[in-house]
Amino acid sequence: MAAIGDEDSITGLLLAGIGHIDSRQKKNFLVVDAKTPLSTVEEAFQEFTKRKDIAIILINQHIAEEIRPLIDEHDQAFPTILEIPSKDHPYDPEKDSVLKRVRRLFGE
Amino acid sequence: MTSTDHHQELDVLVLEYMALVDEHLVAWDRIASLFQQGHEQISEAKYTMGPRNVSAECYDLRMTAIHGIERRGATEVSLRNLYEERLLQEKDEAAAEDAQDSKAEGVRNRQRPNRDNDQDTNQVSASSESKESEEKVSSASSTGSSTKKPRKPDPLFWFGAFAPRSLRMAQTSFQKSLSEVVEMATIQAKLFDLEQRIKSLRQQN
Repeated sequence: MAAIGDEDSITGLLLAGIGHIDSRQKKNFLVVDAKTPLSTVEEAFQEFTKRKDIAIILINQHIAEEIRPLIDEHDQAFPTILEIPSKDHPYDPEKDSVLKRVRRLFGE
Repeated sequence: MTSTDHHQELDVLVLEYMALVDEHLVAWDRIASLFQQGHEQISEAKYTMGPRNVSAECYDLRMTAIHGIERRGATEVSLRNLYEERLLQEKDEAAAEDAQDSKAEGVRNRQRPNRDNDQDTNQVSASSESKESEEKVSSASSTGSSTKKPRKPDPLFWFGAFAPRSLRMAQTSFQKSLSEVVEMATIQAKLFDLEQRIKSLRQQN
């Protein structure tokens, strides 16, 4: 499991026990704040999608919105990308990638 | 396959797909409420301890995952307890090493049979066996006290020895959310699979 999110979301997920840093100091999470460049988020997302040991990528919906083209390009069942809510950004069904795919499938 | 069969199969798949979309929305609601609880409790902990004491600066950079994901087939995933798995693996390895050691000891300490004084040797071997068994018992009791189950790593301790109740509750909320995350991932993988089947059926028509 990997996660890209704001500090509180990542802290919560690490408290739950999903955090891992391997011997080469490779993390399975990225804390995104206002200063994090978009390229860092994109690189982390691309790295997580390529890693064989990751089956689920959790990403805050508002961060997913910033890299939407990359998420839409991802056309594999695994790793599954799950958009999670954050403290400051409540869930917006209009932005939900699954519901977007449903609309596309039925030609809306 | 006739076109009516195609349409019927397509209808079944679309119905299944819509049911899964509904399940996805319900699962999302459950995850959202657990995350909301967790976020509120983290905010409370930050208020109590100070924002710097509940931040990314406190993460232990030697962390290893306690929970992981196992893929089962094309669409199923389940939650794994990696800590328990590591413990079991270590136990198995230790047991295998012990077995090898005892085998080696057995060959090294083998005694030649002496037919002349059979009775004496029987008595000696009996006494040596009893000594060995005593030694084994004593070593087992001594190792029993030393091989305690190692303490489960708890990320809560990164934030201090006496973490407040709110942080503990946040941990529980996020731990609960993991099983929901796994369920939602399974639903999404099934949706993806159904989408492919619906698209290919449409192309055949």
